[in-house]
Amino acid sequence: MFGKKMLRDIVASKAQFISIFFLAFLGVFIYSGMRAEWEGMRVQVNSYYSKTALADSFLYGTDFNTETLAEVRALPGVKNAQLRLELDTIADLPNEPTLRLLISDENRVSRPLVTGGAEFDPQGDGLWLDERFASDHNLRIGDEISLSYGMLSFRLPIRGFIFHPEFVHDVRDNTQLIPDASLFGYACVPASAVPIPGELPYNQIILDIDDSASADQIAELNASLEKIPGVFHLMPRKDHPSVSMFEAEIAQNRSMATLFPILFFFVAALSMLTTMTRLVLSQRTLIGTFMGLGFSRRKILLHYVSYGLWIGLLGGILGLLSGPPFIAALLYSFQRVFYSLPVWRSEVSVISVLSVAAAVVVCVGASLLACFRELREMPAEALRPKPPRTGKHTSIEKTRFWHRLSFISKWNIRDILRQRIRSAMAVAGVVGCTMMLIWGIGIYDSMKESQEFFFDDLQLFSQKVFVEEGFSDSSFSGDASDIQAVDERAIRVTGEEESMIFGARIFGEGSLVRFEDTKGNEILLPDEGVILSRKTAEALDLSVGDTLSFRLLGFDDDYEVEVRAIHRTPFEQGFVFSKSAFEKLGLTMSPTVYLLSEEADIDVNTSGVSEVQDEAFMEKSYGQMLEGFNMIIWVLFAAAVLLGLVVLYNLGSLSFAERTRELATLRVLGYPLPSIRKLLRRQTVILTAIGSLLGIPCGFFFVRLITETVSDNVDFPTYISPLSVALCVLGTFAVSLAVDAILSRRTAKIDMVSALKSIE
Amino acid sequence: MTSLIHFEKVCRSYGSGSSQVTALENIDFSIAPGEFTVVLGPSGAGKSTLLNILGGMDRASSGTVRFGPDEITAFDDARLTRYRAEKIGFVFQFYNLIPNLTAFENVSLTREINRSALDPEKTLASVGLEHRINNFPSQLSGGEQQRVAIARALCKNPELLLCDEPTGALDSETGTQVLRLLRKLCFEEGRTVVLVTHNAQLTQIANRVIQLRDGRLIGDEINPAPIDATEVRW
Repeated sequence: MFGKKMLRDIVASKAQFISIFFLAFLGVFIYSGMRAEWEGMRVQVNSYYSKTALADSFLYGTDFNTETLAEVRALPGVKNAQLRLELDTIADLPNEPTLRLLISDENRVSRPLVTGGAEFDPQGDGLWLDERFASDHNLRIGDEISLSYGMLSFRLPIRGFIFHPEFVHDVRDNTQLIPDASLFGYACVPASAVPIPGELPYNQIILDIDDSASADQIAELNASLEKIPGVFHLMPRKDHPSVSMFEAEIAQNRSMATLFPILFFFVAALSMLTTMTRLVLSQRTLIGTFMGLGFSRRKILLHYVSYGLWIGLLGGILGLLSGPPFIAALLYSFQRVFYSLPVWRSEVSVISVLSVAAAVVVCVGASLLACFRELREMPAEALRPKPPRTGKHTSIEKTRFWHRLSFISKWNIRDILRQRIRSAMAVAGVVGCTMMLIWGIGIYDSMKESQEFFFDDLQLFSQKVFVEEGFSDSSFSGDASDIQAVDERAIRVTGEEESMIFGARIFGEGSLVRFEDTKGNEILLPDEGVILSRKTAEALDLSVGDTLSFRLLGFDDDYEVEVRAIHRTPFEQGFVFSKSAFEKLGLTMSPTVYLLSEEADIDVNTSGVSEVQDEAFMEKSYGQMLEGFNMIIWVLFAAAVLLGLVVLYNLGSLSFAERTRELATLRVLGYPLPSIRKLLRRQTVILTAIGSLLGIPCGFFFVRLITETVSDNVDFPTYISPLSVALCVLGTFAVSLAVDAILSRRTAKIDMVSALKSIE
Repeated sequence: MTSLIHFEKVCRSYGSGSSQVTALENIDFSIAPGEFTVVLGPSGAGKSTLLNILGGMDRASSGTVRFGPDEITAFDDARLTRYRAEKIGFVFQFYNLIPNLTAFENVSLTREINRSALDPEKTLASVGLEHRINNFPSQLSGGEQQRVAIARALCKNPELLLCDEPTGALDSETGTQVLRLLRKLCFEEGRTVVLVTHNAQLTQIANRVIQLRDGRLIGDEINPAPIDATEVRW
């Protein structure tokens, strides 16, 4: 009986209940979808790491051999260890890509996952190639690749295709943000396949540590490992660039997955509250009748609460069923551009199921609140028709501004203030809409701005030539362009608990790279001291004037240096010295890179040259990565428009329903339809204006959240062009006008005769 | 042709086929300018339908309705809206004031749709409410609310004041005040008033009494000696 009544009530106010259903649905849809995405990534990557026995620690150094290996294996806590030679070779393929070889004679730790061809054989010949690299270069099993490393060159046949757990983020180094298989790949190579006589000059030992080892034991082990001769640096798994990058990605997705649905649930709660208040108010005398008939208050309360229960449950369950497959699939298509995992599969956890309960609680709670306010009365009171709503003079009416307002605005402003919850719902929805539009555009703008800042304002060179030790710059002497030598190396800063590795760049004479401080003023490289990038200064908690000490990798000498300035750059974080400042510390600069102001035709096979990068090409590949963001931006736009549509539709239909009698009266008095539409539109316009104004700072906040957390190696400035802000506000208004167009057809159906009837 | 309102063979039926219901059947009558007319009938007699057609809110199924020189049965929706805005002053049983507009603002509404509207303040003063102009409807008594509603109707300077049970929601004392006001508007200021009611007592104050029953006209009489509203027994 009550069930039938509920269904009929819902049908009678279908617009509002559909809105609430949509909000509950969207909340769960987005939450469970985004949660399934990051949880799936976590589950899959963890199973990938354990299946391939990804190393727990990486030991970098020089001249490791079987004796070093034996020494490492003998240390307590070491379960397994393996020697490895990591070598960046140039492949004789279009674009002369770098192919990183992982050469080893064992397959115990960090094993490749073979996806095609023969099983990996550490005693065999040939190479097992990065699957992405292979497909980008159209390579097949059995094809041979020519590789060169300095003077050494050799050919190896492809035996199989692999994924490797250290290349989930498949990039050369942290200056490359997006994987590009046409420029970089990796391969696992058995030691026996490499034509180097004698024992290989291994530069890595990768270790598996006993799962049972305690934190103290690991600390002890690390201390012993660092003392092993030839060791430059010990890196635990969590600091591995690929591992930490993917962890950060998961963490970022996780925080977004939490923030997003809160907005939807909040708006759903407000909508439910307004809708149920209206429903209960309109059924006041009916409730009085039920009470008079002897139904208990509890039973009546349960009846009204069941509206929230069913709407929340239905929306939530449908959201849970469609969110994970749809949202996760969509986001994975984006993640695949950045990361290589053998399996991308979403994971629905108990907590996702609980989000359905959250939707139900939100809807039920709002219904309860609405009913409690009305059901406190005695039956006799409830039977009487509701007292007419009171008008009130509001404080803004005392201002001069009020008198200049048109009649329609005065009326609507009073209505907005009278229906505070409804207005709050509309404003919250519009804030969400503008915020998500700004968020989407802001991510794009910030990255575009970073691109222009980095490539146009900071990098004034057009070509970057990587050279090997002992290369003489006289090779360039014939060229007319400016040349600047740079020494790019890694340094270590030892903190209280652990040591951190940073990139350091030492610049010779020249001005092919500019530096700007955080306010955009140019910084000239000082003759003494160091300048730090903003993120590095933050990581070390240092400011201008502080001193710090660092070591060169593989050495134990401490160098004290003063921080002279903090500069901002989107990509290359770390330390910057001038040549003279570096030499004042008693150190010698040995150039690893030469910057050229004009592009020169330099052959990579020139002796001593290991790689040539064209800035134009780098900028183009950055541009391609930006394209990859379009998907995310469109998802945000779609969510923004949906939220805006649902909330404004709800606002429009509620305020229409609540004012039907007033509107019918106006029709009888001779108000033409366009004036009535204008009257209704005005309220939407006022609330849209308030909401979108508040939405702008919220959008900035969220863009900042993304740019600040994207990675420690990147420092995107938060930037949104005024044009974009204007477009977002216009977009919000477009949504609002679209809803208005949908709703305005109703005004033609206003029944004038209803104005003559009594209120009940 | 001295009549302001002229109904000729007006029929109104709802629905179609076997479920057709006839609300008005062949209604003929005329009302002269300046007359106070009471349309009387029990509920279901068709007086609301007649009021709706006369007020331009509904259309006759057949027959013609003239208002002065215009045949309103031939009007389209936009012209009907203008007709309501310019010619008709409407007074509702439940006042139908806009709750969050003050008395003054409720009356000023008229100026939004009618260029020849009168001064709202003076109109309110003419119904004796000059001291309540900044009050909201909820702060006024029922009789005061109805007087605001009458001021709203008068503000357009309408050719016809159309009242639907204007005293239906009022007690006898305030009802009398409202009736006196309407009579004054008619007999002293020369406005045409049509008042629809089921209360036979009210016929005593009118010049003309039109009686309806079951959708038919059963009486159209002139009352030669209308009495003052204070003498009406409720």
